Amino acid sequence: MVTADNLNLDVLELIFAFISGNDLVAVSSVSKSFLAGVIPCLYATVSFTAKHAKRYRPRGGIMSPFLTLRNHPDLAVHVRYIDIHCAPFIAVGQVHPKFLSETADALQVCKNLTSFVCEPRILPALLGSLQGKERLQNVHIYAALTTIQGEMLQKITKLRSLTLDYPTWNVVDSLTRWAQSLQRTLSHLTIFMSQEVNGIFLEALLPLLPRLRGLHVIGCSKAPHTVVIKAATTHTPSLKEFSFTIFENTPPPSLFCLPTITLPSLRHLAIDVRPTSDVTAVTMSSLFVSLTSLSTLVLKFADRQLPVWSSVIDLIAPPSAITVPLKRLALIDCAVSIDMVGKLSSRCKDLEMLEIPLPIKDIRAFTTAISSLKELHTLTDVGDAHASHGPRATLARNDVRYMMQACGNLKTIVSDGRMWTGHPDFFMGVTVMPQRYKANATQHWFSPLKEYSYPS
Amino acid sequence: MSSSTTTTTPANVSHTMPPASADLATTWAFLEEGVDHIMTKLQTGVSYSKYMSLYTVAYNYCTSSRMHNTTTDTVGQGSRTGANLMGSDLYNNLIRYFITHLKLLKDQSDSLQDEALLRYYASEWDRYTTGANYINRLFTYLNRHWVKRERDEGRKGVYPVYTLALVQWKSNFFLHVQSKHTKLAGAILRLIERQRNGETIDQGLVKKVVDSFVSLGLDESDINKASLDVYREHLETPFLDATEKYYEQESEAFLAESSVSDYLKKAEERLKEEEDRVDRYLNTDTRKQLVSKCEHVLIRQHSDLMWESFQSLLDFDKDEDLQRMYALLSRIPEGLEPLRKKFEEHVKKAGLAAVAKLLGEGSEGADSLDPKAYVDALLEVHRKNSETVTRSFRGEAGFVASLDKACREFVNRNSATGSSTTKSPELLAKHADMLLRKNNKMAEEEDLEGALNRVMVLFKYIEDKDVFQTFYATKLSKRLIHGVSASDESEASMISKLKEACGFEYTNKLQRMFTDMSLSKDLTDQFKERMANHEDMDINFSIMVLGTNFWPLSAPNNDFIIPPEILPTYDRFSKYYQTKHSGRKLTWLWNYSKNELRTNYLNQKYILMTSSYQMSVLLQYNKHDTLSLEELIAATAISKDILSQVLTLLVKAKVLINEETDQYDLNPNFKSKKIRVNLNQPIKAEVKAESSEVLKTVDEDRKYVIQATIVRIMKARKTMKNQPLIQEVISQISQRFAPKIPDIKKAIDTLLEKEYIERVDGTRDTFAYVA
Amino acid sequence: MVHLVTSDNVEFVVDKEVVERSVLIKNMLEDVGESDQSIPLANVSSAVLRKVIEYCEHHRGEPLPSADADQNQDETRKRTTDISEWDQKFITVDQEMLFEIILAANYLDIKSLLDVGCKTVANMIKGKTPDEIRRLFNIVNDFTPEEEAQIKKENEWAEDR
Repeated sequence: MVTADNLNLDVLELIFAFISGNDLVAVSSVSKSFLAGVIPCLYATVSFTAKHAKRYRPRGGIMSPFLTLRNHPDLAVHVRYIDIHCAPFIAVGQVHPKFLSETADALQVCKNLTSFVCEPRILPALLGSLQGKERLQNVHIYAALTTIQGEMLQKITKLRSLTLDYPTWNVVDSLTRWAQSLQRTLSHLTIFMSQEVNGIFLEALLPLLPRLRGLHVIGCSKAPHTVVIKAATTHTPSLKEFSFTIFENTPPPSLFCLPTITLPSLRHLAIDVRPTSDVTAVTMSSLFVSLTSLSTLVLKFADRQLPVWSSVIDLIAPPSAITVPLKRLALIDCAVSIDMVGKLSSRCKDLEMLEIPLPIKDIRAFTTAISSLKELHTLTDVGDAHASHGPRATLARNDVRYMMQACGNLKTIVSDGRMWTGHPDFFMGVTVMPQRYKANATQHWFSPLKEYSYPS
Repeated sequence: MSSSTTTTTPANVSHTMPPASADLATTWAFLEEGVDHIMTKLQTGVSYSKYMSLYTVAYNYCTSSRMHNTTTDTVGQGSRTGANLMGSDLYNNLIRYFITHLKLLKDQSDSLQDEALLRYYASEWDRYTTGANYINRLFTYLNRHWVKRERDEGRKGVYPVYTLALVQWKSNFFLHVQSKHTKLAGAILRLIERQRNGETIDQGLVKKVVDSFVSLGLDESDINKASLDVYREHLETPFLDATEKYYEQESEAFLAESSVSDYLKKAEERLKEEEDRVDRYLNTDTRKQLVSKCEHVLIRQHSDLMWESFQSLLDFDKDEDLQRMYALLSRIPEGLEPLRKKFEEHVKKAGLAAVAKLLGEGSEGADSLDPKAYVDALLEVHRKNSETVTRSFRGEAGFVASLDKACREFVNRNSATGSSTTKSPELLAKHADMLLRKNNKMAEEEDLEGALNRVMVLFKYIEDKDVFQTFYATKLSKRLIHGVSASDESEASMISKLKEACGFEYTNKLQRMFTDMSLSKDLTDQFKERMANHEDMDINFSIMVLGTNFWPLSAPNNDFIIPPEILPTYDRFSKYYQTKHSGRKLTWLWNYSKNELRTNYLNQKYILMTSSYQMSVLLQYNKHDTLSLEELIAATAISKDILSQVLTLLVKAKVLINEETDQYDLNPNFKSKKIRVNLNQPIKAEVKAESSEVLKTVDEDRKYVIQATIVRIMKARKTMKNQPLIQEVISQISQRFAPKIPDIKKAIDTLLEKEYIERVDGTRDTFAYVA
Repeated sequence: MVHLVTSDNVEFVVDKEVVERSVLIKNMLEDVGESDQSIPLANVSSAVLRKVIEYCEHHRGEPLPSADADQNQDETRKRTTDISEWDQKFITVDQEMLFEIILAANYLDIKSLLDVGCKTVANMIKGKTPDEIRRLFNIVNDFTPEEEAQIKKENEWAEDR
């Protein structure tokens, strides 16, 4: 008789490819055959977060996945993704040396690594182990390095995607040299918070990267939007994804030479809007001309209390507009009144995903405002429970059900660390299920969503 | 769907299929028999049950690993290698089978050579790859799981079964045959050589073997990608070497006994043939290298010879050969440059020769050269060589530039011009004048338009365009004043051509002249209307008021007493004009005006057409029949020099009779066949003065142009060194004329004097703009 | 029409278009050529084959996955476990039949059916403790207590992510 534990290994692996998270861990201690079947999936992604760091002890405490990998090097062939979001500290500014050595040793044997994310400042200890990974395509690092360390980084040559957070001057400086070996593969480049990046640098770098399809330059004070737009439209006209920052102190452009984004293939645009006055609308109005191909727009503002100017709404969805083809819209760190939401909904008929602060206390009016969005399937609350003083109301099951019934296609609502999924139900209309939800921490707010992050 | 219980062939007892739990030896024995059948006797067919049993046995063996059977686990995360053993068992046995199978082929091929070897290789390749495709599908479960997992985990040297079969073919058969003096590639190359020698070969066979070279390439990092490394190493490189040697020998030998013309044909054919070869049986990737190799051997290595024979092809107008040579040499870098130089020299010589011939024919020498003959001779040289450029050199820009350069040279400097740079523009302007005159024989408008276009062809090459402009303006003013222009359309057409070539400023004055003409016509009409009620207006009067700045006309420098007969009209018009345009100064150009006088003193009434000077002389005879020279000078105030010429003309026309010295009588017996008698011939002094006058104007203009240009440059640059300044002036002016360096230096000195610019302190050759 | 014979010797006559949802049979018909021989399916019983054919009939005419679709799917870190309504109803069978269908789909190389089966098992596992999973599938815990403790400790990092 066929039973679950005498299914062959091939089939077990196929089954376990469909499960994730805690379920993988549960499966691993069911039986020897289940353990064998689940290992490729369990060890495909190895991550280390604040939660791990908090419980990390040199003896006792939680066991780091890197220690497991060091003890069982056989497992390393399965590791494709390493995400280190946090490091355990032994004292202020000092990382556990044992953690560093475990991690370096584990990294050394992960020959099949395709993606490496390292957000804490521990990269120097790991650089040696990162060498010689033939399949490494994606690197996202905290790039405060010395010149010599920067040179080691340059030996990684087949990257498709590179994200540099807080890069030091020598890393930025070496990027034009590194680009020469990356130019045949690199399609996405992100530079986050650098004081060194400026117009001259971008003008020199971008011509070296003809395959670039995504460029994100955020929080680089010497590269305001005018500079980034000029460089990108000149040298990398095939961009599909593009992000930049509009600074408070950028001289307002003359009416006669407004920066216009002429990128015919652009699909995803994210703007970090720093100014707190409406002057920005003038700047932005010129940006939106000729962006009719856009399907994703992310706008992050400077202040949660700041009401979004109606002029901005008019820009996103001009009243006269034919149809705005936006599929995803995110308005982060700002206040959006119900009126504005109604305006948006009546003009962006194609929206499938909407990320805005939800007015929990006024959910019925809000629901009415979005009920014209027939394609909307995912709604994400980007308001922050901790930001406002006093107890903040949280979304109740009834609210969720009400919203999903009113918006026929709405299947997922994310709010306050929970993801609600709706299923059609004969008696109730819709039944909803909450699940704990954690946003994908490896991605910056301005990056496009990977397809699998949301149900389609 | 329908189902029924039957008694035929129960699925699990077909043949002697081993059970699912069979060990490796039993399993492989069964599989090997099937594999061998497919690899060697596929043509005898395979039954469904045979196929299914082979697949099933392989499947069963691969899935027979159950984890609870592997008891050798260490504590914790066990090693999973137990599961992987099953797949590798089958995989290793497949390798062993391929090696044994290929050993047989190796042995059989050892005695074969050339075409026989190729035939054997090709047919075995067909059989082997067909079989391997079959096996690949039978072992598809192995590919889908074990092979995929091994490759995912980064293990090198594990391939899907079909790729494995090719890898084995390469290392156990292909490399073996090739290792014996590249027997395989050698056989192909010898066949290709026979084809080059004109024999017919089996191209399909060559293609099949070549294709196998391509198939054997393997990109380790991505097995789905084609790799040409085997093809390149084993075939392409030796093929290119052989090609080079073959054509080196052939072209040497061919040229030793044939003409360059024949060689051009041969090379063209060979190049085409080699490109076809790529399409027929080589990989398209080879095209670029093969073509460049052939171009090197067939063209580059003999380019000196081609360059040398170019001149004689030109001399004998060998169009086809020229075309061919151009096409061949254009394929190699720098191949055309020597031809362009030679062509330029050729055109220049032809132009100079044409002018020299023209001078030789005419006895008058350069001074009285017929403008039309001169222009036609230059145009003919241009036409012929321009046709050569279009026909033989496909209008290629480099040759067009050579043609232009040569034409510019001989148009401006030839034996007719001597050292004068103004001769050609003068002759061309005169030719244009004759074309545009009424008496021109160009009957049809289109002919005239064509002729004007041809004028523009040469105009393009004229260096001193300002000289042309001045002569043209002078001639135009004559045509307008005397009303001898052929047609307004043609005049306008010519001016728009000049405007197109040189810009608005160049034709500004010319256009103003037309404006003045039409304004004057209106003015005359208005004046006539105004004077209609004055009864003494039996004098028919018309006037041209011409702007001093736009017309190349000069007032007479002698006095002139206005005859009383026309004085009232003169006064009346002067007054009329002053009231209309107060403040404007009218200068009367008696030397350009003309008159018509009716005779009353003869039986027959004649109309005498005269100049104003002639008119004032003849009017004296209203009161006298005879007058002395002194009396006439006193009455007209015309200078003696001019007056005597005027009188000579009148005497010659027999209106006056000069029988005694300085005594002129009216001829009472004057007779003429025509009623209208034209006495108004230009006087010699005027004709001669004209050319030098024009040139003087040009020189004067140039001085100002140079000075103005310097000031403009200095205003922009503030300070500048001598040499760069001169360069800049030359480059800015050369559109209009070629300024001479001494003239520029002189202009700089003038400007220093006038303090437009100054020398920068402490330097010898730096100037500064004085604001 | 194609004749199939199961391990328990039952013959099925099925449309070629239906049976070719099995890549195994499609390839074989291509390689060997069509004939009126019957095809023995040694690893499939008539009860299971009946279910498999029901599935293939329902999905006839849909495009087959291409060979490299597999690889693309592996690149995404997670896969959806949604199952269409018809498939859901179809796969509501007892455990043994479920596993038999999975094995048959694996053997016959019917990718979409294999996925439906695997997703169903995955959905059964979701949210359960190891003990619950063992009880659900009637699995004997073959770890020693020490081994189990060790594995739990080594994999604890992967919880709740």
